[in-house]
Amino acid sequence: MILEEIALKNWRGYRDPHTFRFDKHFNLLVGRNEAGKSTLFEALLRTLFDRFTSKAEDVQRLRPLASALAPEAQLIFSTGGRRYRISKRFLDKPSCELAVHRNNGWERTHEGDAADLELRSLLSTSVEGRKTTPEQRGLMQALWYLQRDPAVPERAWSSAIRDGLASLLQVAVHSPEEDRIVRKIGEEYRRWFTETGKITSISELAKVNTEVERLDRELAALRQQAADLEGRRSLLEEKILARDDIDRGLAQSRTDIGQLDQQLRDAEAFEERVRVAERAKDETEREAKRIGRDLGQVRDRIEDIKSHTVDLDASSRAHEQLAADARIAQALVERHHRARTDLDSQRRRVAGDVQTLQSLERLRKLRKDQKRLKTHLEKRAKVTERIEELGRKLAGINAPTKAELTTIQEQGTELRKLTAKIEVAAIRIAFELETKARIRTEPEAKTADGEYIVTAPTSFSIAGIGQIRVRGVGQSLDKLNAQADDLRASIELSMARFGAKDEETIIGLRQRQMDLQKELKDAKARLEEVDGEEKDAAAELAKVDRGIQQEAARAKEAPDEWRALGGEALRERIEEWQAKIVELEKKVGEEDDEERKANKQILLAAEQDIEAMRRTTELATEIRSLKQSNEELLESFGTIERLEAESGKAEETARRVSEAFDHLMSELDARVTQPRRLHKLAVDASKILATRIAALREEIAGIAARIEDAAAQNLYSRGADAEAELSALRRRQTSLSTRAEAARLLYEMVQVFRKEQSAALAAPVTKIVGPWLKLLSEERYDGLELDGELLPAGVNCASYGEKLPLDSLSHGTHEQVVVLLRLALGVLLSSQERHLVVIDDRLVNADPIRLKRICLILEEVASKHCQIILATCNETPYAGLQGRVIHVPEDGRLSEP
Amino acid sequence: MAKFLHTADWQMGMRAVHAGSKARQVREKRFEAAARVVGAAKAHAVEFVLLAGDTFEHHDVDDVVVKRTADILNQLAPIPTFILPGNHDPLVPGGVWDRQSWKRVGDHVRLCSDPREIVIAGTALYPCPLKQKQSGNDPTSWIPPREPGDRRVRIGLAHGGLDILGQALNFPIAGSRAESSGLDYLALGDWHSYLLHGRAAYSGAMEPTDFAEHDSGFVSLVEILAAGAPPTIRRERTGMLAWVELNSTVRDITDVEALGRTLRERGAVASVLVRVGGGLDPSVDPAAIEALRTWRAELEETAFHVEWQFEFDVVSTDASIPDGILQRAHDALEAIQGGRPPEPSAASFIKRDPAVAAAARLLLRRLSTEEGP
Repeated sequence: MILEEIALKNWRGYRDPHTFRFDKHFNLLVGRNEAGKSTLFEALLRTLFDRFTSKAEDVQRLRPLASALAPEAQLIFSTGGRRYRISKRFLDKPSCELAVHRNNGWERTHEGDAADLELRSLLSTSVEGRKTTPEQRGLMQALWYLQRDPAVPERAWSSAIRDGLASLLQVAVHSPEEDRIVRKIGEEYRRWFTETGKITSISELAKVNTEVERLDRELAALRQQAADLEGRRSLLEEKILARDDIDRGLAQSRTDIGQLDQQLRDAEAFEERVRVAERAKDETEREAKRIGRDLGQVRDRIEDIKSHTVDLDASSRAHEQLAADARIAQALVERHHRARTDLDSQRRRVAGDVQTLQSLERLRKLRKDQKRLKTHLEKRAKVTERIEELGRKLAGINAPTKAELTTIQEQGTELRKLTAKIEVAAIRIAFELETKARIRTEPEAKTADGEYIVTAPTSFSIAGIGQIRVRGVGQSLDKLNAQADDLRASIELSMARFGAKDEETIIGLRQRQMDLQKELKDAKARLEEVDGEEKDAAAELAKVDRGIQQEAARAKEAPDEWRALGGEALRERIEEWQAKIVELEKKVGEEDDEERKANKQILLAAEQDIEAMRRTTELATEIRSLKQSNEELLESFGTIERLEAESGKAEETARRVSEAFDHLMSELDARVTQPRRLHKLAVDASKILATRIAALREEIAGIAARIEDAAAQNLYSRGADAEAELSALRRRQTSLSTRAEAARLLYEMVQVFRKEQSAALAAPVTKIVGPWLKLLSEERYDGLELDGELLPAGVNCASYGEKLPLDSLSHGTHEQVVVLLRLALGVLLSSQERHLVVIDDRLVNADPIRLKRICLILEEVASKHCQIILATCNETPYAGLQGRVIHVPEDGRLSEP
Repeated sequence: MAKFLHTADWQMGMRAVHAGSKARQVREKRFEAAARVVGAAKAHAVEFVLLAGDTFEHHDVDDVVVKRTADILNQLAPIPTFILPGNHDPLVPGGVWDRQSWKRVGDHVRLCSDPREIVIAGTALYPCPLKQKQSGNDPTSWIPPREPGDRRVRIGLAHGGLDILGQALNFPIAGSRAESSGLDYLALGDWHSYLLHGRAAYSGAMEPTDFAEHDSGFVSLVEILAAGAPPTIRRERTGMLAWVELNSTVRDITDVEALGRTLRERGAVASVLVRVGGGLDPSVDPAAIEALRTWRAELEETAFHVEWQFEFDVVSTDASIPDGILQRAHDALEAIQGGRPPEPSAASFIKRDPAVAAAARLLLRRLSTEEGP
């Protein structure tokens, strides 16, 4: 179809009639935004595809704004070698008229619905509907690329495009019957499988599969239990074999023990022999030892007697020597005792003289102390007397305390203040008499500066004149007077208490009292001081007096010469005689030592002598005893020689018996110890085997019980039932699975054939687009990939030889690829009749270089294959293109309808 | 003279998984069959009964199975009954013979636990008990040859496969054992169908266990007049159920009728487990299909158990498939089904299961003929 002209009126912005005429090749529709370019395409679509009677909302919107005008459009187009004119009026008095150009004039062929139907027949569109969606446009779905259209359809191009291409390319295309069956195959496939080829969960097969899995699990569990049971059976067999082995071992062990019992009895007999031999050995050894011991004793005693006899002689000699030593020592003792007695009497005499001298010295000192103490006591008596005197004086004074004095003083001050207040408050009366008359007052009123101060009701007696009574001194004055009277009475009471006439006297009394108190305090301090100088002087004096008496008594024998000695001389003499006493005491000590030494020698000699005598007696007794013992022992043997012979014989016997015993002992291990050890081992082993066999029997009983328990759980029949059920289910599963797989196989096979069919259709398209794409992208992309529905899937990347998905291209390139695809479809579909290709401003994102290359392609397509109407806001890039430039809306307005 | 009942392979507690939902009833029927064995033994006043192995299906059979079996065996009292452990129930510790539930069996029942001669009423019995589940050894090899002058009837009792059966056998038994050991009769178990080879005989299972068995469901009543005399064997039916497998290509209604007839010949339908296989002839008469469907419904109503494996679907030659890709798909599926390579475009489907391809073809046919959008 080729468009020649669009005329429209009352159509959105086109209120006035506008007519646009188009070139058969290339048309550039130029206009600013909202100039009306897309409105022209809308008029094209609605006139061709909308029913003229449509009252749809979007048709309502075709009216010019704020008007009730009915939109009208008229198209002139040619198709199938004829020119047609379609005129439509929408909404008000809608009309439709189709005319064909014959004999240089328009001949109306159809009107109303008939015109619409005929139009659709001409355009090969059979879609019923009110809206002009791309799917309803037949071939124009691919050839007209309008503003609001998607780049490519979501699922497939309309069948008109596929049919058109198929018929042109002589490729078999599916019939409606085939489509129906293929659709059913798809439905059958989806009954079993999801889009991703998995079994659908709601299909019976899925349910059977689930049930089979469940039964498989159940059966596996039952089989496992059966296997466990079989395992227990094997274990039981092992245990029984082990038990039988041990049983055999135990029987063997008991046989061994029986044999060893005989050996044990032999061992006991042998042991008895050993015990007898041992007793014999012990007895002979004891006898030999006894005789040997007797012989040794006899020999020892003979030696002892010899030794004791020598000692006895030595002891007698020692006794005589010691007696002589004792006598010499006794003489020395006596001499030293005498010397000591003389020296001691000298010492006692000098000591008595020293004591007398010392008494004289002490007497002298005591008398001095006596004098000092007496002086002190006199001084103390004087101080005491003063204190007593002061005390008496103080007791005689009646003076106030400090607080009382303060109170009296404060009361005085207060009274004075009150008196002053009274005077201020008092009535002052002045008499200025013309005559001089004496004035008397009752009570007496004070005067000051010729005025009487009246503080209470007062009577004035003026001589010769009469009496004047003054009353009403006021309540406050009465109150002040009362206070003053109270105070005054209180002060007078205090005064009377201390016998004072005024405050001065009171203060003087207080002062006197304080002075006496201070003096008494000082006197007491003096007494303490005196007492501190000599404590307990009276007692000390008495003590000194007693000392004088005692010492005087001791020194009563002193010669007058000594008494005449001065203190110093007396001291020198005492010291001299004390030194003499020390010397004498030393000498007495020396003599005492010598005496003690001599006494010690006497004692030592006596002790030694006693010891020597005791030893002598002892030895004599011992010798006698030894001789007696030997005689007693030798009584049964006779002589010592015979005793020696008996001892030799006994030793020989003991040796022989011992050798026999040792021989027996050497056989003891083999004949007793070893059989016993073997017997013990055999018994122990038998016990161990018995224990093990008991344990095994228990184990066997346990395993058998577990087997019995397991067998009682009906595993076998349960397994059988589960297997039977599973077997039936598996048959069902196989049947369903075959059906599902059949659906899958059929579906997949049909898909393969369908794809092949589409590929046959797509090949010519890609063949055209390929060189254009190379040109456009400077050989970056060299081919367009189309899917089974002739929709672009991607472009071939020439340098990498790989497909690049379409959605990974930039928006501009994507748009250009779509334009090229539509142009290619236009070229193919126009092989028998030129078709209109519309591109409504879809190349705005192309860069200038690409746009220039697209212009080359557009020019080629427009000149050789299709009519092109390209809408744009900017005509510059298309400046070199051959064709008509139509400015919207101006060129429509200027044209004659 | 010896007169005894020879039975074997009772397989009590058998799983019968192939009987599907009727597995329990199949197990139950074996007790009824066992009771029939008791009835036969008593009716014929046998001297003793020989049970030649596999009394139980497995050591793990339910307690109640063991108890009920013991109870049935107790009904044989006072007839001496010799039970031989077989490969399904060998004499092993913890096995079925150790179960408390087995202990209720009476004194007349003797479990042959050792390969040792037993003398019963002047007849020498040589039991060959199995003590494991599998072995390549002949369990009868211990049976001593007849001593010169031994005039007793000598009977072997064993469980295993006679080597004349020509398979890889478990417990193979020499086909010449009876002769080489001087036995008058070798009572065997393991082979569920009846078989007589010289003096060696399988009585067969007293109740069939599978579709593949022939001539099972009997016991053998044996009489031997004297040592060296040929045994007289009389077989008595004890089986409760018949296992029947039918296979046919149905073209017309007579084929359906033939199927029904064959089944009736095998016994009462109520006691039949039937497996029906086969398919429709491409030129099948629609009336035959209808008759087949009716027969199937009747069968499922009346038979003990039906395992229907018959393929009802048939590729109709007149189904119209549009030209184009659907026809191509049909051709490719047909090629895969027939094991031929499909057209190159469908080469990727060449390894698909022919059965699936056949089902896909049927599906395509069905969808092509179905009405609807």
